[in-house]
Amino acid sequence: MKKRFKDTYTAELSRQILEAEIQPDQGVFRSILNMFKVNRAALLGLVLIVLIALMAAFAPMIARYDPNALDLTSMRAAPSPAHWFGTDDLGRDVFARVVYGSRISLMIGFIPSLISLVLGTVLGLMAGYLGKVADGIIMRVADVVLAFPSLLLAMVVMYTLGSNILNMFIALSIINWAGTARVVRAQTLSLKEKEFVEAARSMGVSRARIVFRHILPNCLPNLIVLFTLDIPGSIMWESSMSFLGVGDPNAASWGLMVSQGKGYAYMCPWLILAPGLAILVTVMAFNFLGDGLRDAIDPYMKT
Amino acid sequence: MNELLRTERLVKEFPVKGGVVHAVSDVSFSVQEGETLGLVGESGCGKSTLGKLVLDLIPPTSGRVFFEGQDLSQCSGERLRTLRRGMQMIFQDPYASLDPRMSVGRIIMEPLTAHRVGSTRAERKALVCQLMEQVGLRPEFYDRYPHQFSGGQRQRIGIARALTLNPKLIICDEPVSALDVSIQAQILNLLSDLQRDRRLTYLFISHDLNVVRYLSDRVMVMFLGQVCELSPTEALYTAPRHPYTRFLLEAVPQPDPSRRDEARALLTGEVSSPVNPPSGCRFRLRCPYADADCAASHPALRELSPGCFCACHHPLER
Repeated sequence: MKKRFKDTYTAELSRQILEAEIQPDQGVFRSILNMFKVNRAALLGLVLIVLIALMAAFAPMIARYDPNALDLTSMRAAPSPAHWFGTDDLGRDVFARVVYGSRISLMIGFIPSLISLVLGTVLGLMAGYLGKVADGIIMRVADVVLAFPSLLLAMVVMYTLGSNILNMFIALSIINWAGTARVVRAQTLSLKEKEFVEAARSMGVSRARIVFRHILPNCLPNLIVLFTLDIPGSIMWESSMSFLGVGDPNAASWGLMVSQGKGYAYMCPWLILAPGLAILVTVMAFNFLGDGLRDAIDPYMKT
Repeated sequence: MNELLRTERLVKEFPVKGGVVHAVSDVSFSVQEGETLGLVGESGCGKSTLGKLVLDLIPPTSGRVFFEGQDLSQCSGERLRTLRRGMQMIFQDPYASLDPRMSVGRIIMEPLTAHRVGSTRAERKALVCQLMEQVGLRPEFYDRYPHQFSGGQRQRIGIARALTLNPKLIICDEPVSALDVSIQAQILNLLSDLQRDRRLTYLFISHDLNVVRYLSDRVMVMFLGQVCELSPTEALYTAPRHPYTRFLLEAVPQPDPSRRDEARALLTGEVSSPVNPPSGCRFRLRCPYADADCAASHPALRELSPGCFCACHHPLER
């Protein structure tokens, strides 16, 4: 018996096997790059997002008018070489307002998504890993939030706290964190039963280290996708709320522009078409990118 | 030789719908320093559960585990973490037991970081590279990820990780059953070389009788959560005393074609359920020697000859 095993084992053989079986490098960044080559929609989404971000950053150089400057001599003017997207009922240049509105709308997209990402991840990890009481409390609160109609809940928050941009961030974070927490909790529950977590426990690795070094990094692909899908979600919610009149009246977001232009929709369609198209393009761009990222990252996790 | 590990009447029961799974029932054994105790049995007999109980990865329903004379159930928190430095585990599935998002170097280094061994990162890294070489991995692979390696190489990573804290006892939970035969031989030889060089003690869990025979000094046979037989390897393989052990040995494939026609006694019937195990001896429903005694009382583990323990009312003659 001992002889037989010894015969098949030689240092030379094992060296050859070691060298032959290394597979080519296929990291997560490589697979995302490949995704952009294959998935044209995701590439389009990325290009559009970059363009919108540049527009927000260089708004003063792009728009020729002050977005808040009134010009009572040309109210509700149709699109012309002077005013590309026409003017609104107070004579403000619609193009300038769409360009400057990208700043507000991108902020509305990013900040609440970031807050709910952090909040949802921390609470989801706690619920999933600690279980028992923590799980019960956190998930029942999440259930309450999810059971409420989101728009109604956000409107209640805005009415209670007052209509300004900061409260808009708070309202949108409150309706978004619960979904993230649910996803992270579910992932944590499945990851903590994995053998590599058990291995870490058997080595005497502390609980905090297991959560932050093993469980969180393995949730990351899903979190990236959730984040890119939360951004257009927040922009849409803000638009709806501004349209319904509970947004910040001083923040010239695209949603507010649609809301203010709706009275003139038949006579001056450019008032709602310009900001409406801006919302449409931005939301689609993020959705394309998010879909692409999900496709790029999931197969990597399966191999 | 000193006793390194001892279990006393270990019991683990898992509640399920309509009853209790008796995964491990009243198991007592000890492992001496420097020896390899093989643990064999069919799927579902509680081998892996026993391994996890020994490491205190799952709490026992009752019974105690002593490691270096210390009762694990009395230790918690920091003391348990310190005790765990002395015993490590090599897992069955080299795909599931390595974090897919950690580089190989960081996987092997993790026990060092967790126990704050080595003062600088460079010192730890040097230690990791040294270990990688010892288990037959090139240190250049330090920054690669587990999915870039083959099964055998991953198992080497798992072995290196188990060695980092210089443990005394390593629990090998079917370390080669997920690998193909030629790689199995390499890993087994690596394990026996390491045992020689580092004076390791193994609790080697497997369902492959040939593998267990190759490595073990003593072998323990389990059936439905109970120990049937515990004997020195050669005694057990040449002259099994428990009927179940003999059936297991008879079931090993015969490599010599000219001997394949020889009559072999093979087991019939279904495996009894661990949810409702039969009364008395749990093996009696499938045992050709079973009689009224076997149904009436459970046979205790008795020392039939020096060092050979067997739990049977009608042990086979040598």
